[in-house]
Amino acid sequence: MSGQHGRSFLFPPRAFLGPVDLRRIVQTAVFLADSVWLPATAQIDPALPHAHRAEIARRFAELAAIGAVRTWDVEDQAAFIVERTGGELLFAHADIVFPLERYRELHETLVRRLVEGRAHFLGAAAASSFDGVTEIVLGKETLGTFAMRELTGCDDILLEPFMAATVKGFMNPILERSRLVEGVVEEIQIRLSLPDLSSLRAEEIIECRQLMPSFRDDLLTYVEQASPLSSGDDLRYSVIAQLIRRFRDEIEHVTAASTSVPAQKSSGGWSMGRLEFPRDALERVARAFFGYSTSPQPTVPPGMLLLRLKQIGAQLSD
Amino acid sequence: MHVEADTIAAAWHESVRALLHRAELVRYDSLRGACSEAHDVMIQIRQPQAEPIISPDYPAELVALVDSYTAGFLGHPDVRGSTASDRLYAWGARFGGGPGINQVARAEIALRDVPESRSTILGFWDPAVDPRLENPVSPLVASLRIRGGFISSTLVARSVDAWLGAFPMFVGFIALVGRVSERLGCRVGPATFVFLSYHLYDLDLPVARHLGR
Repeated sequence: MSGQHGRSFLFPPRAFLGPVDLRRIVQTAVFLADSVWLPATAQIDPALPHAHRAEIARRFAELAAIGAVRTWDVEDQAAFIVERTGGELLFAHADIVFPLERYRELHETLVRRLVEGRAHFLGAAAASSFDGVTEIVLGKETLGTFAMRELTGCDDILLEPFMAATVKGFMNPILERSRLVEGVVEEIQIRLSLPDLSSLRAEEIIECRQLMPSFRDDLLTYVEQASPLSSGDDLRYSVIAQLIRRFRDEIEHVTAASTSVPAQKSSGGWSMGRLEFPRDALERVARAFFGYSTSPQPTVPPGMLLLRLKQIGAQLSD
Repeated sequence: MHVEADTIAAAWHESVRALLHRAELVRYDSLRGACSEAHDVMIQIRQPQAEPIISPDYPAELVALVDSYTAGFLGHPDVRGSTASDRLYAWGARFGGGPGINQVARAEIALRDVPESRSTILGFWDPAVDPRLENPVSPLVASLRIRGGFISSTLVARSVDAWLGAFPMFVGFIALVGRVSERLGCRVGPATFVFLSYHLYDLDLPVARHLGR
């Protein structure tokens, strides 16, 4: 789906979705992905109170309406699951339905790969003890997620924490960048005290998504340019530091260039520790920043997304 | 859900069909993925050593997995690290550094010397260890009984993937029963499997539905 729909992420197949998933999907839609692909079989977690379920369903409907979330199915599987297990599907229809024959071919390939790689799946457990089938089942689900990525044509995968731990070792190199970029956006929200993204209104999400490609390109460039010797926490902190430095430089540039924004001297500026802005300065800089950006320039400054989120956060806290 | 069949191949085939069309299914997100499960499923195989053993619908590529899982039930030295093998043939060896308890040998002695013994139980689950294992053993307990020159057997398992895991478990356990029977001069009788959770992952469902038609 990368060509037609921009950069897309696959959300691993899950039966039930809840508020944590919603937050993670919104985060991906705001920072990284033009679309997040979910299975059409998904339902809202039935253990949630009715009011929460309704609210989460409404938010997912909004995300689907703006194209941030898209759905896939395999020949009326979603209908079959609901018929046999009850409940209500989260999405009324699938954006794309794969024919059974195509899926079967993929499944056969998956089984072959599973058998070829079974030593890897067993190997990690064999240091202590292994069941012999459980590990292969887990390997099947891991490979299955990769297979669905191939089928949907997604660029990346939003790994489940458990799966992330599983793939560590034999698939680590493939997924290292995926985990890194998600870790960076998680961390940067904390460092910049950005608002809870799941609380964003649909129009705010749309606005942020218009600013997202520039931020994402910047982030991926930093990752790609990183030293091949750096990895893990070192690499993540290095990328975060570069993004924040870039963000700070952009703000200073706009602040200096804008006649309507006097240079910040005393009363604070802002602390690099958590980048807490004085409220008035934030408003002024944001005005100048967005005024500067509304012209149809081919490149939006990467920091604009972060600044807009800071501004939304400030409004939410009112 | 209750399934009866003559052979392993038929039992696997019928159990998947029953899961798809008859069982009371519950949606569930396991650590391994989205699935639909039935609870407390009983599958009885009347002639577990009769052909055909391998269903033509079971992926041929997975036979290697069946072989290695079976080797664990038989305590083959090549599968060192298999929890089932460890529990059956060297229970507790990790604690004292000794050889551990060979449960299979004890069961064989009990069946030979006191056929009416109630102690011919093989335990797999170890509460001191399994809660800490990333992938704890799936078989929980097995029972062997001699009745009329046949060994009838039961295996209870915690959770079984109907598509990939049930067939190796049928074959592995029946191989163990077959070897015990041979040593005792008995024949293999009916086998019963009780699966506390018998499930199909969403990943396999489209293919399994084809089988279920």
